[in-house]
Amino acid sequence: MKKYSLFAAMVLLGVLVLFSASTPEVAKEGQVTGLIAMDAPFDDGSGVVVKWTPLSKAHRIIQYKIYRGCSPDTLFMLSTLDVDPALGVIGNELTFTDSDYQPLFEFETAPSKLKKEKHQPANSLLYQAVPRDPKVIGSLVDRYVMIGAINHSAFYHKSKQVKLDKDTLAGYKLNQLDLILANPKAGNKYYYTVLAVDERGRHLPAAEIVSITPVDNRPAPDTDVFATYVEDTQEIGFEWNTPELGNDIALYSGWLLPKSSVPLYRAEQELNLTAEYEQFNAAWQASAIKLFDYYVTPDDPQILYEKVNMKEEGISLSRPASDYLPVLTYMDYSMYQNASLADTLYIRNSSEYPNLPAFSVHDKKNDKGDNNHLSMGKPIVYITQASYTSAKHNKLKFNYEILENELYPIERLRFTFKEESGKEIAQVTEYYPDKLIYLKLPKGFAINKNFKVETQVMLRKNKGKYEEPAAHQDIVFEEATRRYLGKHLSIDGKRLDRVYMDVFVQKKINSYFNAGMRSNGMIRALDHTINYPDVLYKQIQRYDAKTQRMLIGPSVSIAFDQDKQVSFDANIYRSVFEQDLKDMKTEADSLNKVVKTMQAAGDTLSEAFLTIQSEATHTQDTYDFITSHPAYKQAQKARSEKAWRKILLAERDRNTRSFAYQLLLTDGHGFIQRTDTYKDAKGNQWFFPEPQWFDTSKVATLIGSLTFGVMIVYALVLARRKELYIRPIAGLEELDNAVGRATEMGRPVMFVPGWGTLGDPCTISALMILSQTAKKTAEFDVRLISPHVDYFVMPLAQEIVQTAYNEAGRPDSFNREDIFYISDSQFAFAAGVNGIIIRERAATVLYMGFFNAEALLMTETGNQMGSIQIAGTDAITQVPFFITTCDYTLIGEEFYAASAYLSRNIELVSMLKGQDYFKIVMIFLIIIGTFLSSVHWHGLLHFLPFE
Amino acid sequence: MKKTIPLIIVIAGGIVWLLWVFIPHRVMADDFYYKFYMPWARAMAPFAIILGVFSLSMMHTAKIRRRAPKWQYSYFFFAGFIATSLAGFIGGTQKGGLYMWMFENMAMPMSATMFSLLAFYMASAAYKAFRARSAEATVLLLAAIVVMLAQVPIGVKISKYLPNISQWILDVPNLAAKRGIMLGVGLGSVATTLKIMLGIERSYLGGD
Repeated sequence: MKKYSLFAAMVLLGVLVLFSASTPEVAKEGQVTGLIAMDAPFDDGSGVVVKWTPLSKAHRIIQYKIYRGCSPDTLFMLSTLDVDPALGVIGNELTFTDSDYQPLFEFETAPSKLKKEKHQPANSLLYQAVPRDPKVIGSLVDRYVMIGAINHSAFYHKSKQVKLDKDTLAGYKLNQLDLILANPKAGNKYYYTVLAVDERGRHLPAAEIVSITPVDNRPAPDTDVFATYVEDTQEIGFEWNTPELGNDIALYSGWLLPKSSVPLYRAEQELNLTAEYEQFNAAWQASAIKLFDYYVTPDDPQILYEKVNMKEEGISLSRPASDYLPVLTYMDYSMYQNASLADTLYIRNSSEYPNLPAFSVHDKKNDKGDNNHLSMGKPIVYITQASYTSAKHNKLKFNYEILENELYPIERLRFTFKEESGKEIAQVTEYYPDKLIYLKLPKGFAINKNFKVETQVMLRKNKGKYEEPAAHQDIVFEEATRRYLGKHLSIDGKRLDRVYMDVFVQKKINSYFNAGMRSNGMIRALDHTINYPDVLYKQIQRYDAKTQRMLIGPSVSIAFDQDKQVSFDANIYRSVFEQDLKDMKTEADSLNKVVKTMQAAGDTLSEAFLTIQSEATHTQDTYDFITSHPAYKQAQKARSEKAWRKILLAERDRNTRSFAYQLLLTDGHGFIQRTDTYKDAKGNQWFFPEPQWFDTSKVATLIGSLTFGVMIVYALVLARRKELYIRPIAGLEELDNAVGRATEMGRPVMFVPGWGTLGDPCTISALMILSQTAKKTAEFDVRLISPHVDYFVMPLAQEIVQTAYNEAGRPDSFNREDIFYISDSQFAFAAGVNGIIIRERAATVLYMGFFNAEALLMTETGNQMGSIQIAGTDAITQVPFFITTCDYTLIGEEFYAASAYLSRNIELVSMLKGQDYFKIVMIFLIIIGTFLSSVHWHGLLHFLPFE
Repeated sequence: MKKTIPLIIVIAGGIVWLLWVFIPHRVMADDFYYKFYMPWARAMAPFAIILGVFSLSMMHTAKIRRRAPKWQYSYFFFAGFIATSLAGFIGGTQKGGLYMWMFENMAMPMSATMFSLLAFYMASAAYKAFRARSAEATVLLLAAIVVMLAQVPIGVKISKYLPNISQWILDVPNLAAKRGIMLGVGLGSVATTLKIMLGIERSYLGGD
């Protein structure tokens, strides 16, 4: 029997084992499924696409967390994707692209040591974040392309020189880096997983880990390419978008392909889709005409331009231009190529070029030195829309916009309305540009018919004369909306609303221009923001385990010689720099010697000679440029390394923040015009934004402030001679009675300061009133309760009240706990105050300060409790509520006058009088201003600051 | 000395801020404001909030000790304070945690309740304001009726001029009064600032 039982047990066990083995693996409850990781297409191998199936709405998921690791045993949280728990995810998959340098490590939020992810099994491989452990990050340096964000001052002045092999690098501790960003490296294997977090904060089981090795791909096959051939000048302009994920493109080439070769092109492009990346089928190039090669520069934007003068380049077309189509080929740094064919070659004539605006560059006024002002001509005014003011159709209301330029302040505007035939309808002069004009229509005006408008500006610099040429527009009636719309803005017959502008900029430290400030062709001015260096993004090259430091290249560019195209690069360590310079001199001498030897031997035409000669010239030029540079000479005199570095960095700062400018105008299809580099009257082409020490737009404010100060001094002198009159303020007159009432009733007085912080004058004013009130409550020996909304204000209020009680000789009556903090939440504070008013049955409640919507809640409660209520506020929106529900209200300036009124302190009263005198000046200015504006003289208006 | 040093700090600070208004230079805009002032303000906040919490706890403790009216409610403060703090410190403040649940399901509805009371209080205040007890109140009543009617479609049905009259009331007398108050407020705040900067007003240093 025992034997049979044993046999049966064995069979059962076997069946169970078989059953468990044959059961397919079932996803755990809440586990993300369908996770795949793919190589991002068309890129340089730095991108990975992760996809997964989202969980159902029933799981109430609020977030998906994505984890990445470069080994299968340790995955760190990389990013999160928030989802709405109620709506869930619409669609069958979620996608996350790991590219564009995702944050790997943030110093402020990183844990100090490895921390496992929440709610995961003990053997989980998931960690919450990369810890603040240099060893961990150091182990990852070779596996990712890492960029460290470091404060510029720390980068230059707080590094440790580290020598590894033959290299000298700058070493930084982990705490010197604010942030590390990382991209996957082509050819390395990465591991990914995803988990979901539900509404209760539970981290559900992670998906099965997947892996991927991203590789460098061929660039994307199609991108937007436009080209225009200018027939009379034989120029051709190309304008194109960078291909998708094409940040590794190194070279673009422009071609003209005969239409007859298009089938071949298409067939070969079809083959390229499946061909090895190294192979690029382009036999079509044999029949095509190559126009240009465009080498990509580091700061190139998304939209790029190139223009070729075919005549100058000796390129001729063997057939009519209409028989060609433009093609753009592009090659990445791995020499993988692709091409894109445009639909059309636009053919235009040079007379159709839009007019280039008067382009100039200036230092922007009144800024901190971080903007250059780019001027594109004088202001333009255009109509946006118009509508009839009534059913009588006898008056039109026009909205207009001004394309302003701060270099050309406007005096007035003129609108001349004309019929389509050209007959003038009416003229409107706008003396004050409020962007609204009315046109009284003459009898016989054809209702709902289109008409035209000419707009002109008169500049303040050129009074009495309207600028020419005028801007023209068609005013078109739109049946659907029953409105007129301003369309087809043009000047000199050239449309402005169909062109784009782009500004090319060149740093003084670079050899190339970059576009990237594209805007519509109507704008008249643009600010080029040039930020001060603050945080630098530097590639982390290596990790030094001995010093536990991240190593960054210590070389920086100081200056660039635009004529000889050589750069003054310096190591941030003086000794290394000087050694490098010596080595450079030795190398130059050695190369020059070789050149001389070869010349003596008669070898002056060989490729080897030309290469060595070029190298010798370049090295010698670089050495000469550095050693003759004023910054170098000045730095050599520096006694300390820090002073030496500061001199060079000042030069670097000036050169990296100095720019040259060119303007480009295009129709968006390659019909492009580009100006020469702008030079000012002195011939200077480099523009550096200078910081300003005084904001000239605030001259009037300064004069006003000084006048106010003088008036206060005058009032102070006057107040010392005689007693100054202050008109009675009922609310403050009643304060004694209100406190007296509380005394009689044996109930407390409540003082509610407003919502303001210590930085607001209204809070300070409220505290001054609290001081006076506390003196009175101390005098009458009444309890004073003061709840607070701001924890900065509360301790100050306690001190003020305590001092007031001490001064009144009743320190024993002061109770610090009666001046307390409630909450900084608006309605929690209101609820607290209401509760206290009701429970303590406050006889008198004072509301002094800035209030919001909670004002009525509190005052209405006080009103219902029968308290005497006195309010004082500068919050205009709450004044009506206070007036309605309080017994007395101090409105605006009365509130600020309260402390002077109550204390009768001679200095405070003189302040009050000074205010009154200044008010007289303001009233006088308002009357004068009204009169002057009525006679269209706006000098005063322009002088005063405009808000 | 107890007041002189703070007074000097305040006056010096006031002058720097005054210069900040007129000087756009990087030294003021970046170095002073972002690199000096802002970190100080941020560093002070945690200490100040401790003061606030301490004050509130002391007040409620005293109430319980003194058996002040409705002293039992003070236990709710401690219960709420402890529960919220624990939820935040232990469970974190992220969405999905207990802290956020308490905020969304307790604090927010209670705030909303208080806010909704405003409508009733406003009706009550409007009733008081619009009683035509005097000539001024009658003007107020008429202006309110016109403006309110102009906001609803029936206003136009009553008179096509109503929206224009309403707009005129808002744009001319209402705006004039508002700007008048604003002018006074502006001058008042400048005067208060000057009082402090010149050391005339010292009550904020604990009375004078």
